[in-house]
Amino acid sequence: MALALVGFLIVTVSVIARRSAGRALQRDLTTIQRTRTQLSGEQIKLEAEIRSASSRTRLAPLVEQSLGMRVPADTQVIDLQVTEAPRVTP
Amino acid sequence: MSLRDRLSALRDRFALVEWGVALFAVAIILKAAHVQLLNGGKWAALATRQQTRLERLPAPRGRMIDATGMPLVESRELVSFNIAPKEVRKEDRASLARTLNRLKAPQPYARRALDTNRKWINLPGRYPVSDAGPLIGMRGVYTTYEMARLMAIQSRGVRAVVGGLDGDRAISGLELALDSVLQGVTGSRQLIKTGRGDRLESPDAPMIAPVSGSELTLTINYGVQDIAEQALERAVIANDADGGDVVVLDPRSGEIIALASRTRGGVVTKLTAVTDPYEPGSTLKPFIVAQLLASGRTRPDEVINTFNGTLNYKGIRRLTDAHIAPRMTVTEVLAQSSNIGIVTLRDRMQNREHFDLLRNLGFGAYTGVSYPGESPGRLRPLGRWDQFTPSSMAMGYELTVTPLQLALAYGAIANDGVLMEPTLIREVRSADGTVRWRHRPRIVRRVFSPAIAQAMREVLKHTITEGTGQSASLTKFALAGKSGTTKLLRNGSYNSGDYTASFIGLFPADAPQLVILAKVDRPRNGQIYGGLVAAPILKAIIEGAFASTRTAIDRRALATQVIAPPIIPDSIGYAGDVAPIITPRVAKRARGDAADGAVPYVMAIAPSTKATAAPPLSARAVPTVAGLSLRDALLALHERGFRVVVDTLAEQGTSPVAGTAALPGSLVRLHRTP
Repeated sequence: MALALVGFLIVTVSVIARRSAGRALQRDLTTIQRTRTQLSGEQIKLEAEIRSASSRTRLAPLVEQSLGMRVPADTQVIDLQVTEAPRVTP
Repeated sequence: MSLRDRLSALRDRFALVEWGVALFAVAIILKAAHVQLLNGGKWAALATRQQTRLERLPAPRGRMIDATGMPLVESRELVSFNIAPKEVRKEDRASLARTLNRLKAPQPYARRALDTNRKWINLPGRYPVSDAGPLIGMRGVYTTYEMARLMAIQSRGVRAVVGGLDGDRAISGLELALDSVLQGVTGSRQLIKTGRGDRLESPDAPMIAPVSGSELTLTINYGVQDIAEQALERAVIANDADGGDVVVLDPRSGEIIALASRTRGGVVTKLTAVTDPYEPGSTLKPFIVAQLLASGRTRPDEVINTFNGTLNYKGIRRLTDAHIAPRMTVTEVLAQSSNIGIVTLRDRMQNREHFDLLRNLGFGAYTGVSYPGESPGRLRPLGRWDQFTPSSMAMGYELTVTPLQLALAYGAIANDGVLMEPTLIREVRSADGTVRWRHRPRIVRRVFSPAIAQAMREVLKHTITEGTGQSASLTKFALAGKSGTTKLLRNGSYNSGDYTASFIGLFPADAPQLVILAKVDRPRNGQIYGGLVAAPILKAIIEGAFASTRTAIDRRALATQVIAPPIIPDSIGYAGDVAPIITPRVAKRARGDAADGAVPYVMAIAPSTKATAAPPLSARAVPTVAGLSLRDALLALHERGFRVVVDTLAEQGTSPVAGTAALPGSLVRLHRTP
């Protein structure tokens, strides 16, 4: 009878421990997923801000006013035909 | 009572207790059977309702990217909150207050959210998950996730092309036209409530992951779009105009490279280049000449009497020219945009032939572009033409066309006489990277022979070199084009003093890669002519595109079209998006030649075995690098022609993800675990 009771206790404790560990793991996983979602959102937002900041609409007035630069005329752009460099084998 | 009797009585009592216990056990068993077997389903359902919750996982709509792979619009997760102030832990209240303040939640609601006498608050607004982090998972704060569209770039034109959503409902633009393609499949997950009130994902019911909508690759090139919008904005402001439109398309494929529309206040709610037709004026004149050339009824050098700029035409109307001359060649009629000359030429044509010509050019019919609200313009049926109609139509009046229709018609001249169907979509890919649809150029019909189209390009070069379009002229390349200055019909009269100034150019003239239409509505700053108001827009777009590596110009093909050597600039140039590539030798030469020490803007053309006929770059899928070593992953990406940056993230993979189409030379981020 005592053995049965001990056995019952062991099984019960192991079940509870397993469930507790599972829930803790699940909680950690949920936290990580939330963090990931937050970071993804942050990444999208920051990438959009970078694109906006580096757009022509934003930069052109700045470089024209501050640096005195302008779009080159067609004749001021020189296209160079780049010859293929020889392959270097390591 | 004897002992025996007392024992017997005790036994009876025990028996009674035993029976009682047995009956109680039987009652419990019966009740258990009643609960478990008869009403088990009902109780189980009640328990599930109390302890679990099915959470809907919104699916992101598909991204839209430009022709070079740059994101234009993408979905971003937002979150809305319901707060039960009584359930919020005491130690969480400060964090709740701080976060609500940072989210700029309405003050009255923020106050109520902290008032423990209240049971429930519906916090208005949706907030970025990245900003609302501390609230997510907080006890007493109930979150609902939603997807919202985020413009990845700031462009009014792209915003108008892309369109918008009202909540989850697409209401305009490509969002509406391709709603079923962009929509994803909503997922779900089962949450269980723990004894402490937390909600965890149920291990018994696996999550059904949401499936993202398909990704659209547009034909829009953001580099050109950016340049076009800026050029249009400057022209509208400089000319104190009501607005304007720009269309840039590839005549060979019908792909629309840029679409810009602008109103006086800068608000763009629709693409007027597609939705709002206008009377095209003189820009329609070249098609009359092309038709007559095709049937041998005129030649470019034929001399036409232009009556010194004034003609009483058949006693029904008085025609005048801005450029006064007693006679002009057919080429000069177009170069100087002579009304008298073109109406005289038009008289060699039957009305039916004229109508069929305009129909064949696509006027009065939908182009087939996948944009809601497209207008077919107006081409009056032949039976309703009156005595004024033929001469009016020869000059571009009494019919309306959209800027897109007109650009496509000029595309036929650029494309050796073949009219192409326009498209805004280059490719549709499902979430797993599988190509669902890819645009194949579609020919609508042949309008002119290649010889006539080439002859027209030669004729239209004169508009730029000696005619009305000289302010669009380039030094290094030949341009073909035509200007238009249309009187606007106001209150039934063409004498309101309001005009539409337009210009259409083919760049370069001999092997056009781009057809560019620029239109400015009601310029009021002195200049009204298309050649003076709209032509500079064209020049600005071409120069900007030529000085940028992000634009859709085939430089190798263009190298064969150069008609003038480069000159050293008198000041420093910029492309707006890339740093100049200066080789020491070129820089030295430039410094030697230029008095002020400025350097030219030098572009490198990639090596090619065939200098004149390079294949166009085609997008390719980012390879899967999962499971590969860093070295092998780098090799796989480089072999595909991508530039690679390695960074450290918790999750391995690439950005863009494997399977995404990207052009060779695009930057791919390779994420490695620390």
